[in-house]
Amino acid sequence: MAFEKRPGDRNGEIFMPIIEVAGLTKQFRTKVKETGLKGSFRSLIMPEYLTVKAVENIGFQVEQGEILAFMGPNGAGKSTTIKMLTGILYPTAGKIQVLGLNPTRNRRQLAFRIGTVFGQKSQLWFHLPPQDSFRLLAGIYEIPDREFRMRVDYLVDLFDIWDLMRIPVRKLSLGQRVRCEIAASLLHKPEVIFLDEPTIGLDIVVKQKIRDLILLMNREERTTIFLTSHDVGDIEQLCRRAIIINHGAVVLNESVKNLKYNYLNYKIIAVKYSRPVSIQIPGIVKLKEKEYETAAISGESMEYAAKIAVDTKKQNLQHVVNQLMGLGEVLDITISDQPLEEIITAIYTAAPEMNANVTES
Amino acid sequence: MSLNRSWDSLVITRLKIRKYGLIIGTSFQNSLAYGANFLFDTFFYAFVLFIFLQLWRAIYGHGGAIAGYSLNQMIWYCVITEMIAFSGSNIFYSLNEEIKNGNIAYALNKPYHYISYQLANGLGLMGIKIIINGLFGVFLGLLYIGPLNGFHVNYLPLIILLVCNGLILNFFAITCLGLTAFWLEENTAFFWIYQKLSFMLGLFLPVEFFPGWLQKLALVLPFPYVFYGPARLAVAFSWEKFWPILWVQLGYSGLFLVLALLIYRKGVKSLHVNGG
Ligand SMILES: Nc1ncnc2c1ncn2[C@@H]1O[C@H](COP(=O)(O)OP(=O)(O)O)[C@@H](O)[C@H]1O
Ligand SMILES: [Mg+2]
Repeated sequence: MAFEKRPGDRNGEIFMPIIEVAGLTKQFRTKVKETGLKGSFRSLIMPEYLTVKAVENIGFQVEQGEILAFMGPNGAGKSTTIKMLTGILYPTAGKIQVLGLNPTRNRRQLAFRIGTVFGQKSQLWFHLPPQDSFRLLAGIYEIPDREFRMRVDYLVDLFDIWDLMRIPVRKLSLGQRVRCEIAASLLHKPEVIFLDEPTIGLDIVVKQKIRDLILLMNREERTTIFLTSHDVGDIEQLCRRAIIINHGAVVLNESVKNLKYNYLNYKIIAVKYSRPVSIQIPGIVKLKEKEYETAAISGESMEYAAKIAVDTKKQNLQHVVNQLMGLGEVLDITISDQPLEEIITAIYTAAPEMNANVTES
Repeated sequence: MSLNRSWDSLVITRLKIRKYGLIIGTSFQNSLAYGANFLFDTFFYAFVLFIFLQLWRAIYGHGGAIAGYSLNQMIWYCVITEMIAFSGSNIFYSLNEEIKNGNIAYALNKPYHYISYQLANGLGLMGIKIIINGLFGVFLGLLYIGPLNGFHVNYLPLIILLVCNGLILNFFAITCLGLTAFWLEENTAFFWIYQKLSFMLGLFLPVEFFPGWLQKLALVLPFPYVFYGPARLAVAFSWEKFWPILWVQLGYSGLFLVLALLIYRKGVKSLHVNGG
């Protein structure tokens, strides 16, 4: 089966698929590890295998210059997909083309044209300042010296990491390190960059900064960005389109606009009052409420906390918050997105079709 | 046109050589960042040699020679073998770890060959260690027992060559052992056996100390060529011994390199297919 090549026209814009995936499937056959001497002896002679379906029959396309979020809870198959797209893992079935190349067959060739940032594996040397790792990467990607110097100056300026370049990586904060990490992955001017959970473990401010950087590199050089995450905030702020996968299968492939309207419309508000109040706002859903004693400065008193869900399609968030603020003395209030797991559940409840993804062979 | 093309290929070759040169340099620098470790290693090196000094002094009593070695030669023999032992790479453990925790996967989408990368990396580390231990070892030898009798400085480059070959032979051998981690959960036993054999057949004792049949056997195995070969020639150089030792070193290095590449190729295939 060949891909249909269709540089086409959509809304007057030329689009060119840069990543094309069809029927992509990955199964891992893992040896069942048995405990004890007898067990390990048995598994040596007659190993028992368990087949794990990590990715099952997924298909999608990514256009040049697009930022695509590949979302899913832990274990959904995101990293496995990225590893197949970059040629680290061979698919069990299905077709992949990245920049017109087959990652399985042209891994090295592809390596020169893509960039990768894996949240769990640094490409910077721990004991050396980033500038040394940058120099090494320039060598690895066979970038001539003069070009390298210009490129570093440009990236360091763009990402505002002048002051970090001479500090050993071990002394950088996680956020600072990720910034250098992303800059490092851009040294060889990749046409596509794969980011596996780049915002994992970062606090909100730093997360925001990293998202800004991702937008920046997309805008500056029209770099195509393929990003995995299990943070709903990443979709909302970065992409026009998101693919949600769960248990290895695509659950949803939709524009963020539609997604926002249909599934990201719930905001969760957690609010805490200095004394019990009764929340009676029409149209909201009260998820939890709790009164509890507290040893405050002025003797014993009762505090009150509640968690409510607001459907922003029906309710104005600002309006709800104002009403909540008016009910009493607010000690704390946070607004957050509905967790991805709940959104997926909501999608499934709309179209239920799931089966267990682990079978024995 | 064709001139242009050959110019291009020259530039590309230069960039490829520079790639591995840079890896060596970076590893060299990175090792320097572990300054405290080096200090501890050199201290330990001095300590181990001191023990051997006491031991051999007691054994030699009032002089003479054992198996052809004088006390002076014996101590210098230990200086050289321990110098090599302390300058080895930790490639077995790092391969073992990278393969078992799966981090090796992330090296696969970089434009280099993993084994070449590891070799360049190892050369940087071993390079800095052998320079430090080499200078320090000579100092210790002079301090403990005085100048090596009958040593001619003309042979120094040849000895350095054999020492480096020994390190590389050892590197490729333990690379093969480390790569078995692709299939074996418990592969440290192999490493342990390899280590003990090379300690016995050369690190502690020159091969001449063994009975004839064991000497013959030992000399066809790779182990004596890591420690014994270089040290033996350092303390008593002879051209008749130099050539066979050099050739066997190179032969075994080549053999283990090819073996490592084959094991790697098979292992990485299973990683591509099975995720390691
Ligand atoms: N090398 C492997 N061997 C066996 N199972 C694996 C391997 N890598 C991943 N898996 C399994 O595949 C599934 C998807 O994993 P992964 O792609 O890492 O998920 P995500 O990145 O979305 O958290 C999980 O069930 C995981 O346990
Ligand atoms: Mg993952």
